[in-house]
This record gives sequence, structure tokens and C-alpha cells, in this order.
Amino acid sequence: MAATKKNRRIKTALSIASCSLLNAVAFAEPAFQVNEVDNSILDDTEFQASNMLYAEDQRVIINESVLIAKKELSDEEFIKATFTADIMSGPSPNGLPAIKNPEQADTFTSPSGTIVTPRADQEQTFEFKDTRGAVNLEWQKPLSRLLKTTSGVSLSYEYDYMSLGISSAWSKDTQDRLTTFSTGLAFNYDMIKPVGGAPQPLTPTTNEVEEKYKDKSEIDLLLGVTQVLTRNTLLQINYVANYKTGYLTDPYKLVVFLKSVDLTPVDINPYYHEKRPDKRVSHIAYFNVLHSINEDVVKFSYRYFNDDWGVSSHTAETRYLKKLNDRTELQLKYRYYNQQSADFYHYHLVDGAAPSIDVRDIVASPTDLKYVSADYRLGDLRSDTVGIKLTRYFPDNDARLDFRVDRIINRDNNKRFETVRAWVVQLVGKMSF
Amino acid sequence: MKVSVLLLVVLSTLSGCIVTQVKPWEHDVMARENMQLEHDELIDAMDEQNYYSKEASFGGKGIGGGGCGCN
Repeated sequence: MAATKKNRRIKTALSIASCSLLNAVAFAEPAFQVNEVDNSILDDTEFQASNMLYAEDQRVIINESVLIAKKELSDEEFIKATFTADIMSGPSPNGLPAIKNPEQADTFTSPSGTIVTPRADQEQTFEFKDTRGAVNLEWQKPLSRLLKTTSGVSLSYEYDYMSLGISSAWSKDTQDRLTTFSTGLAFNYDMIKPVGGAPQPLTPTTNEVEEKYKDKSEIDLLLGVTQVLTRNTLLQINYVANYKTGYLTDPYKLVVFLKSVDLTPVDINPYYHEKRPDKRVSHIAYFNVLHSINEDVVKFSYRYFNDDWGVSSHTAETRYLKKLNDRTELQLKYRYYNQQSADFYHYHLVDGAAPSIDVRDIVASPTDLKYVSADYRLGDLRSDTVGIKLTRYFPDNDARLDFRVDRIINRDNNKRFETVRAWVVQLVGKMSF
Repeated sequence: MKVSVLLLVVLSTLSGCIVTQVKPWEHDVMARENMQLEHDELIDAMDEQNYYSKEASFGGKGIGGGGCGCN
């Protein structure tokens, strides 16, 4: 144990010495701080606290608070606990578009019990309010000098949703420590208890509920490699396979059935519950490069996503970290996301052809379809994010403060569903003892 | 699937071609805080959650973490 402690101190000293080559003043002081609190119960403990506000214009608002406590047990061994609390509220789209002559359609009760009155001027939404609490525990342990394992359990609870997860990952460094191979498995079991019960899919909204509880499970497999390419460049490549099975339908989403002529509702109750397949297999390739230019860093990542629902997407993100002075860093970010819709996505269903109607939206009856969803998140979605982040280091206290603001714009490539704009504002504090 | 495998093969080959020998005493840049993959751990985790609930794609950076009934 004493030898391990000594090794840790040697490692800390070496790390500080390395960093001090670049920043002698800023990083030399923590060496004395470590020794000063050596006997404290907080020794080798790191805390992170964060508060994030996610606010869509005229729609959903989420306030998320997170606290992380990480305790180093020995060299490269730690336990980490993450506590999350979310408060969510606001109008969320239920899949129904703005329709002409809404007075011809009746009001209806959504699965969550909300009375929905169709409107002509904008997409239909339902009001919701929910809170979420989550706990994640993680334990990393070295099995040998080059091999380490990380095990995790997670629990997340909402009024109408509960999720349990376990994960295990292994990583192996090569002798020269320039390459790391990683692999991991994760299993999740989710229980869904829709407010008002899970509706019978592909039936009008007046129908009885199908069941009270639904569930789904998923498995993740990860294969990855991280490679130091040059003294200044790091490359990471991951492949992830995801398999989901169970209730993958959204109980709160609807699709409307319209006449082709003038897009008025076909009858007094044209609203149908959506239905998605009960299996989904996804493949994800992720590529990430970090390159240091003097003391600045350029980061670029690309992700390709593909699944058997017909969804495929390209995500590219670039960040530039500019060191303003010894203690301050500025980061600029741009993220591009482009998604091809799921095969069963329909903006609306239409009884008969019309020049402006997408051919695949034309059906004689919604019940002719095997699966259908009008959830815009499964549509031909394009998303752009720009962001700015300011980081302030406090080397005297081995602490750091981050403040970021992002602007996200989600729009339809076919210019049908309404553009969603959101602000993300987040403050993160980190302190090590 | 085919595209993912092809992409991995191409990128792995490419990385193999451009790797230069980095000596142990040249690891100073990689040890810097802003060169760590987890540099913005909490911000990245929340971004993942935000995008997961608003887009049909997910994942790539890691695995696990728990689900949500996101609206």
C-alpha cells in the first residue's frame, strides 16, 4: 500500500513536471497543495457540479443539475458517483401538423390526459411536466500495468419511465503507451408507464388503452482504438453496435389522416396513435482527432450512424480551444448533423393523391400501414449548433470553472415541420483535493 | 454496416501510415489537460443527452449511462 501511495506521488510529480514544461507558473503550485491536505478525508477526491438550462423557443425547458464525486483509491483505480436531477416542462410536439379547417375535427384527449384542441396556425403540442432523478456508479480498476477495467451501474427514474443499466469496459495499452485498445458491453432495461396507459397503436385516439406497463431492453457493444499519431496529434476510432427490443413506440405521439383536396381532416376523429417496430439494430462509426498547435487545440470528430429503420446520419463537429492566458481558455464549437428519415416516417397521412403531397404519405387507411410515426425526430432532420465556452483555471486550488452557451437549430430538410430553436446555457465547477 | 466496417478499415489503415515514433519524453503535450478525451466530460455527457432526445441517432463516444423517456 505504501509502495502504491509512493507510486502515485511519483506519477503526480511526473505529470506536474511534464505540464510545467509548458506552464511553469500555473502548474507548479498544486504540488504543495497535494501535500498540505494529504491527511484529509478528501485527499485524492475530485468534485464536479453543474447546472444546465436547455430552453427551446416557445417549447420545452429543461433544468439539469449534476454532482459528481470521484475518489482515487490507488494508482489508476477510482470510484465515481454521478447524481442527476432534471426538471422538464413545456409544450412538446405530438406529431400533428397545422391543419386547415380544424373546426371540422373534434378536440381529443391525449394519452397523457391533456385536452388537445387542434389549431390551424401551428403544429399541435401537448403540455407536460416531469422530473427525473438518476444515479450512476462507476469503478475503474487496473488489472495489470497495461490493462484496466471499468464497471458501471445506472438507475434513472421519471414519473412515467424507469431505466436500469449495467456496463463493463476493458482497455489495454501497448508497451509504448501510444496505442489503447478498448472494448465494452452495456445492458439496459427500461420500464415505461405512459400516463393514462399505453394506447393501442394504429387506432384512433378515442380507443381504449392497450396495457398499463411496457418495457424494452438494449445491448451496446463497443470496439475502439486510441492512437498517439505524433507528439501533437491523438486519434480515436470507435465502432458501436446497439440492439434494442421491446416497446419502442412513443405513447404520446400521433399522426393525422387528411383529405387530399384541401388538407382538411377526413372525419371527426382523424388522429391515430403511432406504431414503431419492436426491434432496432444500429451501427455507429465514430472518429475523433485532437491536434495541438502550440498551446491551442483543434478537435474534429465525425460520426456515421445507420440502422434498420432506414435512419442514417452524418455528424461532424469541430472545436477550437484558444489559450488566452495562463488561466483562461476560449473554445468555439460548430456541430453539423444531417439525418435521413426512418422508412415509416410520415409528416401526415393523406387519403388520395395531390400535387404537393409526398407519394409515401398517401394511404387509403392508416390501418393499412405496418408502422407509422409523425415524430419530427424521425424525419429528414438537419441540425446546426454553434457554441462558445470560457474556461477559467484556478491552479492554486486545483480547480476549474467552465461556462458555455450553445445555440441549436433543428429544421426539416423538406421544409414541412416547424424549425425548433434552442439555447443551452451551462456552468460547471470542478475542484480536486 | 458495410459502410461502418469500411470506414473503420480505411481509418485504421490511414492511422497506421501516418504514425510517427513518439518518444516517452515527448508525451508532455498528451499529458496536458486540454488534450484529454474527457476534457469536457460533463458538458459532453449533457450534449449527448440533449441530442439523443432530439435526434434519431445516438452514441459513438462510449456505452452505458442509462436511458430516459425524453420528450
